[in-house]
Amino acid sequence: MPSVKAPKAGSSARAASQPYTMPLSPPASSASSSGSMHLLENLSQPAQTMYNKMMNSVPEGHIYTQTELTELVGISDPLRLMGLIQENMNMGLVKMLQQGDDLCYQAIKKEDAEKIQAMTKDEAMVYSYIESSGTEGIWTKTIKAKTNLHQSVVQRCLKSLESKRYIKNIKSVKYPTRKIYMLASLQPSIDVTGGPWFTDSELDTEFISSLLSIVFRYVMSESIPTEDDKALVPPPRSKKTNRKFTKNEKKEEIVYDQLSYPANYSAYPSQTQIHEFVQTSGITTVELAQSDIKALLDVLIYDGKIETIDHGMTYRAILGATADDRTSAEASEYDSIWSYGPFL
Amino acid sequence: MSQYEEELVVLLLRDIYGDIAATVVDTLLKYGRLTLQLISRYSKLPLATIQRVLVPLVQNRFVLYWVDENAGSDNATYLASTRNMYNIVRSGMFVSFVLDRFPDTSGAPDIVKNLLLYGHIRASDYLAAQSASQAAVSKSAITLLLQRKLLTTLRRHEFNPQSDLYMRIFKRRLAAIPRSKAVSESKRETQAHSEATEEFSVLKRVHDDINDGLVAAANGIGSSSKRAHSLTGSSPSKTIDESAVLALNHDKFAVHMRAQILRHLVAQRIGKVTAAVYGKVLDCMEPKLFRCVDNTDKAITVTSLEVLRSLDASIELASALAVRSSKKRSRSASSRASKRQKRRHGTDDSAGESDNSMGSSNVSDLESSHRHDDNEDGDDEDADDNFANSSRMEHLNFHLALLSCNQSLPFITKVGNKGGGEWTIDFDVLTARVRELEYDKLITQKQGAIACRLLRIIRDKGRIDEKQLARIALLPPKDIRSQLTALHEIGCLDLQEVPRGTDRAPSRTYYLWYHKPKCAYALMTQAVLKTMVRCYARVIEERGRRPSVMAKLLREDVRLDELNMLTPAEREEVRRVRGVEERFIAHMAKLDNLVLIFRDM
Repeated sequence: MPSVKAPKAGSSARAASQPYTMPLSPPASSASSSGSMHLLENLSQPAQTMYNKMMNSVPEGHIYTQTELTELVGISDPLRLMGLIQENMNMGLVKMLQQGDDLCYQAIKKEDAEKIQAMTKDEAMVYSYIESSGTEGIWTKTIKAKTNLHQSVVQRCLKSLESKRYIKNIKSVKYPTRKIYMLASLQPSIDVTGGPWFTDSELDTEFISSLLSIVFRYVMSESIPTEDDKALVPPPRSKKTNRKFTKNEKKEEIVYDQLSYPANYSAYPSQTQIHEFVQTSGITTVELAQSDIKALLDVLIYDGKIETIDHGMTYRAILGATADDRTSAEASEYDSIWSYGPFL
Repeated sequence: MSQYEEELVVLLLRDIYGDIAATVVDTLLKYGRLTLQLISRYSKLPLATIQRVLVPLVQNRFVLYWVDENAGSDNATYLASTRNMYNIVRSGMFVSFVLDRFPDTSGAPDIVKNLLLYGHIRASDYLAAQSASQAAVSKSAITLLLQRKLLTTLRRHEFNPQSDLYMRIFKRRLAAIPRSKAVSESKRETQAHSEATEEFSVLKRVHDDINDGLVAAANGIGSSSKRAHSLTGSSPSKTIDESAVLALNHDKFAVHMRAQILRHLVAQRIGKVTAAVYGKVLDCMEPKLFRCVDNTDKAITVTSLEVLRSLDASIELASALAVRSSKKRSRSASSRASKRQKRRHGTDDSAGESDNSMGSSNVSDLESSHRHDDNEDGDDEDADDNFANSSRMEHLNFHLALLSCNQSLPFITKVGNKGGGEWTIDFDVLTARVRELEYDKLITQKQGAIACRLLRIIRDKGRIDEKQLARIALLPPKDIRSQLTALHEIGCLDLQEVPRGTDRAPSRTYYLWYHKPKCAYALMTQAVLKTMVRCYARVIEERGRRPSVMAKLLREDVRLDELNMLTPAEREEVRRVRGVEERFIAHMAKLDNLVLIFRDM
């Protein structure tokens, strides 16, 4: 690979300090090109051509290796090529990146380049770090560490960038006291916002409890025989049988002492079934993954309301285990024991 | 810290046996072992009084004595035994249990009541004190109770403290091993210890013999030896040994109470019919269970045939099997069939306790793998028909399978196939689970469902920090913190600090929560005992507020005819006191249930 001419001092910091995998390219900005032509005009004709070709011929954000660029512009002389690239870089229209050991280049939109040119050097540096963090966001302390700037300088830059609405501040779920910044146009990743349980970075307990009760009712309906099911061998007609007679005595309701599925009954709901049920029930617009359902089921197990059969293959509701089922009389009976207890 | 147990015991004695007895026992509990003179000195009571009061205490084995032959003097030392005194709380339940099982006419309840009063009675004395006809009835009743092991015989050594007995055996064994250069002193001691432990355990189990306290009948009573053996296995042609000394067996009663608790749990978790079946299983096992813990080494098994025979014909077994209504069937039948295959392969590998290998195999056998593609309803119906037509044994096995299929709460486990299926109960595992469930229930009532959820998570995960806990429990961290500290105060949870650096700054340490079951249960038991103390103290207080009425109630003529002998105001007072008594004594019974679960079971 031909030696790269030492880049000009102004852009050195930015070029050298970007060792990474590619960030997402910013979404298409509106085509206001009032200031952008200004930049392009400063370039020589061949540089302009190269830039336009880089921008137009392939999908946005494409990263060019040196060989690709050679092909694109048809200039095989590496020195001349470097000169053109350098010109573009000076204007901020091309960014140099490192992919493994190779250097490669990416075209930047004119509007973005304008933006960056308009900023001070410090601001531009801070902005580039924020941009590189993508949807994860970056902590102020990290920015300070990486840029080696003073705290007040960093603060000033962040303030001005925020006022220009280039970046925004979001609250992380894992570290609520940290200030996380990311590009204003991006959506924070799931990791940061915490997933389906969080609304506005706060745990949505009502949503969770309503989901829990729905899942529990479904599991219960599938694991305990209901009125529709009947005993295989009906209890014999004898004086002792509990039979309820309705008013017109035409229909007999049988009240069973016990109705259970056999020990090897296999139609208890599995995690996938439950997931399907929740999806189709349309309870919520939030997308729930299988792992979310698993988390809910685990909570129900820890509540003592359901249990797993087959080491987690299927789930079954536990009879008579919930405190809610207890009648008020029984509950007050237990309470009164504790009214004389020592824990007061 | 059995401080509350001691308080309870002294309170009970004060109420039932009087102030002096209570004082003596209090002194013994405070100072430990004492001779007669020392008791007199510390309690400031005259010697003669103490001697007089020690008689019923020793008779009931509330106070144990020991005479050391080598000590030179002939003095006996006395030691209070809280465990025996605690059993006073269960005396009422014992009597009602016996009343349930044996009709009043059989004389069994009377025997029990008398034994509660006297502590122990020689059989000949008891029979001599009754008229001839009564004596015959009593004789058979005593025989029955002995066979059921609700009564037990007393040997002389049972009035001695266990530690002294063991020491005596140990010393004898040690002396029996000769000193020699080859064997070091510590080796001698360990050998002596192991021999002594063996001998001691044999001594403790001396009542486990089937014919304990019984001798062959001379004639008459059990002449037809062709009669089937009774449940206990001892032939009915036995009668009591007149020279035996009888006493109540509280260990056996604890076994019965445990059976009751387990039955109740099955009724809650599975159903009433299965609970009845389980009750029968426990009844079949019961003759071989002599005490709750430290039973025989061999596992006790029961066959399905035995259970079947002992079941009431009236219990309807088959009607507990439910079939899904046709509305629900078709949806999951195909997934069921494929699952069935998976389960069969899966359970072939697993050890022991799988449900597919059980007696209800005739149901699953028909649903063989090559059938699942076609007519889903068809093969289900065939299987169901088979069940409906099969024998009562199969129906029984259905229930037994239900009992054994839950891996986390194994009420019963299958160990063989003889006699329709051999079953055993692993009481250790079961008791641990019952304790967990009971403790969870208590925590839920005390602290709430959230606290119980956290406890269960911590129990499952071992040691876990707050953040993880919040993530798993799907609860905000600040809510959790107050619950955790509250649980910590009760003694349910404990904290483990893991420092991150060399300094112990709180911000640089991890705090892990964990749960120690034994510790937590012990603290809970102490709390329960404290509650019992307060309940009983309240009862005594209520009685104490109305001394004249209570004194009047003790009069013979008043006892026979309360309605007329008391004024309306007095009757009202009596009603009030009885109401208070009933409520608190019933409470104490429930609390005793908890003590049984956490301590004695």
